[in-house]
Amino acid sequence: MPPEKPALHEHDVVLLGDFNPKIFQPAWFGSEGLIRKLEVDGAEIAVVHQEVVSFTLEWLKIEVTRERFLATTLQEAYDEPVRDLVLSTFRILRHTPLRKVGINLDEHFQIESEERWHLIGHVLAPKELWEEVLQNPGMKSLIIQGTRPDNLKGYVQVAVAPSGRVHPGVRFNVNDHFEVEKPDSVIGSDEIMNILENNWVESRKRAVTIMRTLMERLNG
Amino acid sequence: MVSELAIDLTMDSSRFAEQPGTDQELLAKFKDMQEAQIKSYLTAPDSETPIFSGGQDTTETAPFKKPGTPPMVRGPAVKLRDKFISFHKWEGIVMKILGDSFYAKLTSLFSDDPDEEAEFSLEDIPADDRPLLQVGSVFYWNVGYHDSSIGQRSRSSIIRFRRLPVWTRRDIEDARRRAAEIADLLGWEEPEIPSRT
Repeated sequence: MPPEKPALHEHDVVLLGDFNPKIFQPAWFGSEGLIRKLEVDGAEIAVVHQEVVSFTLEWLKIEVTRERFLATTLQEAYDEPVRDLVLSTFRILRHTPLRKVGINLDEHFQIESEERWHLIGHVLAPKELWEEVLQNPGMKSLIIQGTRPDNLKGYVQVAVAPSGRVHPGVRFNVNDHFEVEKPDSVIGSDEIMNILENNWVESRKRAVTIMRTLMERLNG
Repeated sequence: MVSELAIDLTMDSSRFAEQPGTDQELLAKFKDMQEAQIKSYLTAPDSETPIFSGGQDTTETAPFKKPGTPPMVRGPAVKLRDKFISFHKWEGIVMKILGDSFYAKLTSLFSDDPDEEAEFSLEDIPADDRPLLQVGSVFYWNVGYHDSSIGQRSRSSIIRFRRLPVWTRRDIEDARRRAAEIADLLGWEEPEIPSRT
């Protein structure tokens, strides 16, 4: 039986470091050739301020504060372009201090019935314990964290929750988190960009395998 | 409503309040921005969850209950947007360019199938990407369905060329210098690389 396709998909690359948000405007990305000219012209800008910048293209959302850079897409067709955009951006801005990167995959799966949907929550968090201390308990979210399967600093975290957008549905979020070895002495972006470039493919495979395995076990 | 998967600011409020740029400081600084808009951008500094729910998970999520719970009444449906659903995806490398077409080697990004070759019309390339077409260029080819905002589904494909920064002369010199440093550390003799103007 082929693996189930998600009803909704979101892929993020999140960087934690020190940023100057006002750089990250559509015009800058266009001037560096990182997005199309038509995309620059069609960008929907939510805010451009020295503390925060946020804009959206048809396939991409960028949000930047002093401490955080986020690039996200809701369409699987653009997962690789998001990665490429982040790599290209911080090869140009290589003196930006970056300390952590999260490669995140977020997917919502449709479940065949509410009965089945409740059963999934019951498998993840059996109610008998909670019925001793709460009235009518229900699982809102569950987060499990594991150590990294490689020799890099960080962790892999999986969150499961009822979907707020697909009903009945389940939302999985896999946060593949990496950190530099010595955060106090980081002076640029090279270490984090090398981690992103060398681990993105494996991270995607890992996230898809995690979700697929959980769905097979939970949904039968 | 903030997604359940976002950091709960109320839980971390004591730690958050000790750091510069707290709610009250930022609100005072950007008093011309609406309070709700500023607060929508605040998140724990080390959070990796999106600042915006931005149209995602804005509805209250009902918890999983035990089996046998009566069905729920749902709220209004979420407004549809145009979206593309891939059912296959390849990374392509341009091998040969002809008059009005080009040949590419395709590597599947969805499976371990062997590489394939295919011919594409130049008309398949978006106008803004055509300057990127040269032998060796990398592109992504997605085949799937396009769902319009009014629910119309049609078969479609997307080609998007990879965009990489242009190497400057300084980048190349920096790379040469670092290569020389590494070669020196390893005790290798530096090869003679003809300089280019």
